[in-house]
Amino acid sequence: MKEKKKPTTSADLSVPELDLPQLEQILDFMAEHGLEEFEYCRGDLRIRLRKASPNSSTHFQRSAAPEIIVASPMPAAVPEEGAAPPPRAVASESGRTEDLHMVKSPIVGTYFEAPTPGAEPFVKVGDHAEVGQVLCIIEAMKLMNEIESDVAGEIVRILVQDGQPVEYGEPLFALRSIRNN
Amino acid sequence: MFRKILIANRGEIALRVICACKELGIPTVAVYSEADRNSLHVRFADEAVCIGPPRSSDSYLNIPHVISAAEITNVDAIHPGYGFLSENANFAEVCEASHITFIGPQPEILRMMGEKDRARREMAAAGVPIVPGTDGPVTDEKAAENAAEEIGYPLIIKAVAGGGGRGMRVVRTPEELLTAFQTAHN
Repeated sequence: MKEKKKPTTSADLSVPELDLPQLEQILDFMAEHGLEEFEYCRGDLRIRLRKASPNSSTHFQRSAAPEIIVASPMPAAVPEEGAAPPPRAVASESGRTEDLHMVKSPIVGTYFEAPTPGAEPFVKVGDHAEVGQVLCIIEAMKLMNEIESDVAGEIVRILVQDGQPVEYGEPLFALRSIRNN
Repeated sequence: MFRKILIANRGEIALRVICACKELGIPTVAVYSEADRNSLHVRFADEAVCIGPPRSSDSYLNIPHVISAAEITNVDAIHPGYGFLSENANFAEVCEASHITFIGPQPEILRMMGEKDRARREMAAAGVPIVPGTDGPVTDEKAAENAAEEIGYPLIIKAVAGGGGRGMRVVRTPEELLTAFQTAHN
């Protein structure tokens, strides 16, 4: 009896609010379109689904449903029989993602990347930021509020665009803390 | 008629206003605290903006955040619902200054009606029938006793600057009067 090859995915969920049927829908979507990786961010919710390499999946056929791991640095729940590089690569990928610190908006307003229109942006991707360093301006009720970094680290991603309205808690910058590597 | 309305409230209150706007064909903006992210009023509105952490004082009562939310969604009016900022004269003024229509009374009217003794005076002067009561606040226990005798029991003692059910005591007999007065006084 030939066992069907099922794609194995590892997922890390920041907020355990999404239910299984919804996740399965996303997985079907991925399979349908042959996607290797899928990431979704909205407010506090972050989902990342990554398909393991076909080579190692021969060992993983037992699971009818995908393996779902809740927010751990090492997704060791993925069966180790394969013990091939791909699962570990996934682990370290997730490990790195876990280290990213999100600077979120403390107010409601409009995001500006530079002190004045046309000026150089406060920071760009790759820059190192210190604690207290001004990263951007959020304008609210005609007041320009300087938003400071609450950690020291490298700016890995800027999640908003110049002039974009932002709400309370909106993630603005992803920083890799210098302590973790 | 308004182009777009932000509803500065939540739950059943916000839902009802949003439904009324739908009937009138007016697009709506809901605001919510982080605790109310999955609330029904958020889903019913056309747009939604997170305005703060769970505590009301940091979100629904946070005037700068509410006004900012109105600005970034480009509404021309705010409906405050009931409670929260609906009787806040300062908020009504900030709306005015921000060129957003506050759907409710003028700031001066809110101030007047918010101070109970002043409200009674103004209504009496306007010839509106009001329940028997004291002319102005009662400042000490003796005055309270005298007033109570004149008005008759049962009666209610209200703190001048109370509201939301706070600082009100029903008094049914003279024996209850002093305790009730002291509690409401604080």
